[in-house]
Amino acid sequence: MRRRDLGSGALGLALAVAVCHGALGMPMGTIVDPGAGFLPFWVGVALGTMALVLTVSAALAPGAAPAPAPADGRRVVWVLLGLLLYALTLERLGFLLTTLALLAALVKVLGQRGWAAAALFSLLATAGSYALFALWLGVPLPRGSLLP
Amino acid sequence: MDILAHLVAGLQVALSPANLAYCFLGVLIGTLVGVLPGVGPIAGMSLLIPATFGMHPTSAMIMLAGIYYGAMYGGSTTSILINVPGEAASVVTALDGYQMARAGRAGPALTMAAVGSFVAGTFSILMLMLLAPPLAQLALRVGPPEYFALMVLGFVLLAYLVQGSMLKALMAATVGLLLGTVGIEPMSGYQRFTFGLPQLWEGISFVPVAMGLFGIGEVLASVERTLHQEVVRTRLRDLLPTRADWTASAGPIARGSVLGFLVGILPGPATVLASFTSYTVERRLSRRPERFGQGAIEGVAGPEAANNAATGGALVPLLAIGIPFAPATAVMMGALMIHGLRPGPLLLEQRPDFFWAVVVSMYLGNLMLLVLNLPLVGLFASLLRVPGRYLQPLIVLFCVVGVYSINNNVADVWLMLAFGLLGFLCRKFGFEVAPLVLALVLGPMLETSLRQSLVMSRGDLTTFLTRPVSATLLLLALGLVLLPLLRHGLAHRRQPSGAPRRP
Repeated sequence: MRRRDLGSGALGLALAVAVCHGALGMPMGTIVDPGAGFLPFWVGVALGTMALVLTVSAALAPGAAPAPAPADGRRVVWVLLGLLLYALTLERLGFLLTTLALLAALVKVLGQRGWAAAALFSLLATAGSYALFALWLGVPLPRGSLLP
Repeated sequence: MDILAHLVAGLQVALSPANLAYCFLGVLIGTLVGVLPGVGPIAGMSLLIPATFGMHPTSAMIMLAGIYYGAMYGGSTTSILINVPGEAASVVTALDGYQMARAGRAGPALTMAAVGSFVAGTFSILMLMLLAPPLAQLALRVGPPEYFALMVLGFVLLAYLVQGSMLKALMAATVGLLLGTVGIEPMSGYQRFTFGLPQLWEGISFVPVAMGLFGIGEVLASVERTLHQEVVRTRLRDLLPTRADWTASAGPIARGSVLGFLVGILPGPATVLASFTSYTVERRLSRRPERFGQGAIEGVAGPEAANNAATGGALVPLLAIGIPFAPATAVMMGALMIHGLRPGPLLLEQRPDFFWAVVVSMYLGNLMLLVLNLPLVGLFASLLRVPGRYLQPLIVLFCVVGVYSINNNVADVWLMLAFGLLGFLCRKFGFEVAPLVLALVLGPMLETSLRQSLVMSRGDLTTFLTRPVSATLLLLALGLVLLPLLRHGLAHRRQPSGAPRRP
């Protein structure tokens, strides 16, 4: 946790500085009648103080950290990539096509061996969600510009 | 007293076919998210918020509340049958419940959990009904400084009670507060942190944040680890507890009901704390505490009663004062505000039908849950055989479609993905996301009450300390912040040469 705490402490500090800088550009008002920048500035100061404490205590902590639990980080990256691609193409390719592809890909990434089960699952889930949201609840899901 | 008249009116609303259906849907979904590990009541409610947009606000609240207490019933199932708590409030249930299941006594454990939940649920609804209206009257008479102090105490107490570092929890809360300031500031119309993006004028909307942090974030976190589960099979005929089970459980259920309700009212992750407290109390009180952890039915009955009673307790501050103290009720408040309802004393006064319909529906929902859970427990348990590789994509699908349907806009999907990544990183780096969500919901209220207090007192900061109620609340908060530091200092003094221990 030590290196991670150093990282999150530094990140918090950077965020706090940015927030305070932004808040100082807003009308601060007076203590009798606080303006728009009042709360963000002081919350930013609080965040910065706490981030500083976290960073310092992580830096002072003894180094030997317990080994992190074994984790498969690659899967997370794949799932994230899939979702990014989905958000990028959703409006252009339409809900049906993108969702079919996303679900099949997710099932495969998460450990399904064959393609048949993945394809069947994504077909059923896409059709089911389309029926529920588009047909029943009347949500205008993106149709895409490829299909007429 | 006109409680009876209100009850009848509430009954009429709650008994309408549509509301009955939503109540049933809520408790069913609640049971499902309770059973499924990784998806808790908060994620369940967040995922369902978009589906409530077309509903009457009362129906929406009936369904969301159903998910909340329904999850408490479902959570015990997984704890007992596979030793994997379906949600955090059922962690302690696994200690003795799973041992009972291994000894072939899964049935009595499941039955007692359901009966205890029902008794406690009924008790807490009664108390909610009796306590909320007078409390709301009181809340109408206190001023902005008290509200401000109460919210500060709420944050600090939540940060103190969540797992892990208090410092990090408070940092998460400040980030939530800052996110809450994004958008056009209501008093002066000034644009804060909008970076010229019109999408941010109305602020960061709550649903994509909640769905990202709790839905996508949890999926990403669980994708990383691989779970192997084995379900203990149970037959209906083995469900019945023995006479000894009933006598052993009566006390724990009664104590769990009272304790759970009280813990539920206090700020913090109500249901989780309630079950932990009850377990500790029962072990203390037991004449044979060594049986705990070996399959003591008291360790199942008490905590399961307590976490259910806590749901009723947690609704008291939300509905009576208008301040959600628990992350789950913060989600409810976020949902209600989208419907244009601001829960609190005014709502209770102006729209009593809303409050009473929700209360009555909760009673009906608890009845439904008892019926649902006892005979169908095997069916719900079989859900656990759905492999994660199918379950996780379904959650993703629900998040994506749900969040898109709010505004029919891909921008919300992007926002949700960003917060999904943030939620994942928070879990990796040991930050709790619950304080962030609570702060996002409460942030605007906190700012308003702070600024009103300052205007009222002509900029005199001592106003918070000269008013007895706000002074007490703020001193309590300060004490909670100082407590860990004090303990840390004492530990250092005792072992000056030793290295500081870090968990």
